[in-house]
Amino acid sequence: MSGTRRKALLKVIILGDSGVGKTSLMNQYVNRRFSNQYKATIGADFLTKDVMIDDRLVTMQIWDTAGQERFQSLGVAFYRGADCCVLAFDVTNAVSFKSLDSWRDEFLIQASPRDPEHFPFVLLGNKIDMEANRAVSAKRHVTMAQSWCAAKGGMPYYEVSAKEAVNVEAAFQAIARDALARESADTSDFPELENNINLNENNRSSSSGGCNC
Amino acid sequence: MKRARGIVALRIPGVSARLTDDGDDQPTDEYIPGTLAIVEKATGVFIEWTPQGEDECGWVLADEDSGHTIPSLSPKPVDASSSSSLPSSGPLSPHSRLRFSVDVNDLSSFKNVEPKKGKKGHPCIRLIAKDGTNYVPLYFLTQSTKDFIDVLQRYVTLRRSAREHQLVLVVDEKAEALAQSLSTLDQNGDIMGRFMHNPYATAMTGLSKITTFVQDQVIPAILDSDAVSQEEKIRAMRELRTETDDTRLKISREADFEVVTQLELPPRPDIFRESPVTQAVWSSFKHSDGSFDQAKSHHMMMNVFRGGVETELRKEAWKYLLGYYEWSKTPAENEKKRAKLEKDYLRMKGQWTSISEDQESRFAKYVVRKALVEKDVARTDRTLKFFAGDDNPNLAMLHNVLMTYCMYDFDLGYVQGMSDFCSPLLYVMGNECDAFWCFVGFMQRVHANFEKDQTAIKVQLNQLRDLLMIVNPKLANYLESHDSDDMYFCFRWLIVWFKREFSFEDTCKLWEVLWTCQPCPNFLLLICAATLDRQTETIIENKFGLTEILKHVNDLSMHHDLDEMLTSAEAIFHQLSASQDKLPMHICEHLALGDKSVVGTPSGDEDDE
Repeated sequence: MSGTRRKALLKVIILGDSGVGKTSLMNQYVNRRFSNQYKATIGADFLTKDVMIDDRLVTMQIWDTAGQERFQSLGVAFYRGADCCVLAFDVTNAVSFKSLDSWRDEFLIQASPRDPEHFPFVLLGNKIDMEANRAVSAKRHVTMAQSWCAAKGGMPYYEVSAKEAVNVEAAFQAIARDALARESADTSDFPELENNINLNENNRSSSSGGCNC
Repeated sequence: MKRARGIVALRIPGVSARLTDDGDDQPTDEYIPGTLAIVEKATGVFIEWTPQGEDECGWVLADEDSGHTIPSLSPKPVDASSSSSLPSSGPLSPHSRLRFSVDVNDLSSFKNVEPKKGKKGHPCIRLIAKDGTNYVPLYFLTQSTKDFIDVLQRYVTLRRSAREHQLVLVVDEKAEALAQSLSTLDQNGDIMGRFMHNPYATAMTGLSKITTFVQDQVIPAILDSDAVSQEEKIRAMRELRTETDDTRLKISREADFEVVTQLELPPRPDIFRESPVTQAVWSSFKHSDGSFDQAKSHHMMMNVFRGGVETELRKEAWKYLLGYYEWSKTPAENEKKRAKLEKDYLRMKGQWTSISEDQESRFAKYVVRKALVEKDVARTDRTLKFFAGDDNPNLAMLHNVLMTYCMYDFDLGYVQGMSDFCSPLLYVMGNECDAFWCFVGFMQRVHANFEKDQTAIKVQLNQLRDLLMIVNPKLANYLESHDSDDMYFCFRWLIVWFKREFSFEDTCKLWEVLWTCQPCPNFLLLICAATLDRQTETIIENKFGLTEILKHVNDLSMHHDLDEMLTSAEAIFHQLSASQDKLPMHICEHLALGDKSVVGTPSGDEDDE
């Protein structure tokens, strides 16, 4: 028994348009299961999974969010402290690709990491099992996605299928490895969090959210 | 791939997991037989539950070059070898998703529910993890839970909650050690002694000492080295803050120095639910011409509030409750109205069904909405027989109703959550036109929830927090000190009226109660408050923070007791109503207390007298 063992916790937020498969990606990775009966996500939820990365035991906390834009404003408290943001789009849906910029911007505004230029994002193009329905030809698509990623500071891109469990494990594995590497390099994305805790003693009332009533 | 060898410290067959299924008519509780075990492994000690007929040793380390996957904390398929290369959509036992394995170090507490004296039933254990996850409830069919608890105590220290006897907490040794350090600090009672003379100054000095001590001595001791993640650091800091908060609370109490004035509410009255309104009772309330007069319709609303309506009666009663049919009209008059509205429906349906593909290519707004509707229709209540299977005509009806609503209210369009509201209406009405106009009636009440700025939801969350301050200040204060007083974790409850928390049948029951607007228009908020009230000790004793509270509340889904919630909420209403002259003005406003035009009168009826 190993009571003294310490686990690192990696918080990963999945964002993307409604119906691109955020819940399916999370469930495929954590539970290795696919269902086409998932309901539209309302609010936010997460699943955790323990993985071994190079002899480090890591708890991956994967956050699933609602895809409709208007619901984003409320749940942003959970963006804070994220170690990685996964942007997901549907390769058969061109609109979901076009929305990526706004999802990325939204995350950076709400989570406000210290160094937005270098905050780790990963792009997942989901539903490659539906090859025939691709919005653009597979080849052109990869090029498009890759050049978008390159323009965003070399964001890694994975083509995945939550349904057929293609590349999902590998993508999350890479996300975990990357986040761990950053952590040991001691680049805290949210240095102000620690300060906030101490300051809270004095300014709790002002931190309770800008409600208008 | 190799098997992880574990030493089985305890194995209890005959432990069933309760699965709450969304049956068509009644919520069915299914008990899935299986085996509970406590297993020592190289990576730790695990509590595992496996459904019958599955490989109990299916705990597998899948070695890969890139690292191995330990599927703990999550149910696993039988064939865990399919880790990354093979599709895992192979044949699985239908209950394998219930399978779980949890590291005892990740365990925060468990609920140990014994059957009521003299009643049949089995003892039950529900494990709660530190991240707020609630595992599937396990029923011990053949023996008591004693062996399980005894063996578990070999690995962790357990303590029964003093406030909630069903809750057994895993004692966190770190926190205990910290509490010890703090009491050591105050060993000579010096702080207390001086405090009596000069409470403020002493408290501030004393607390700053504690804080300094904690920061300099305790934190480095707890947070050893690199192995601690950011989140853990933050959590530890938070706990320390709670610790100092507690100290202050104690100090001010000792000094008889009450800062917060707490309103004493009268005891909650006992409330009993009544049986659903039957067809016979419904008919007996009608005049000979089939209409209801004002008094009778009001009386009927009260009956529906107290017991709901029988399943067979829903098709008729819901039309009245949702304002599609008018109580004061005769059936012939309502039928006439219906015929007119049917034409209206078909007219609006024609507006979108006649949009050609060519038009669509220049109508992006419409296309986006259509895509949203299509996506959600495909994933709304598909486990119900009514919506199951591909090419189900009921799916097409749901699609048509929602698309037509987009035309009826193009400014709002389609917003997620609307399909959740629409599906039970279609299920009960069985046809597009009636479902549509009932949906229009329903949307009139919840329209603001879906508006772009989300103000209405924020207002409701704030009102809920205000109510909780009065109803359960202890929990309200706890939430505030744990960054959770934005009440976001209740968002899902409010936006779709608990649709995701209850079985289909219970959702219908809850909604018809809420449609009556009894005993006050914001009864939904009281239901939220009552539900949270029940979770007070679980949230506080598990020391849940922002993240864990959300997870815990999400995991309560399908494990709520509707009748219990409704009676508690009503009892709270009577408590508040009885002390309305002492309540802050805004609380009375939230509940429309003292507003004679609302209390006791269903909204929508113009005149009460």
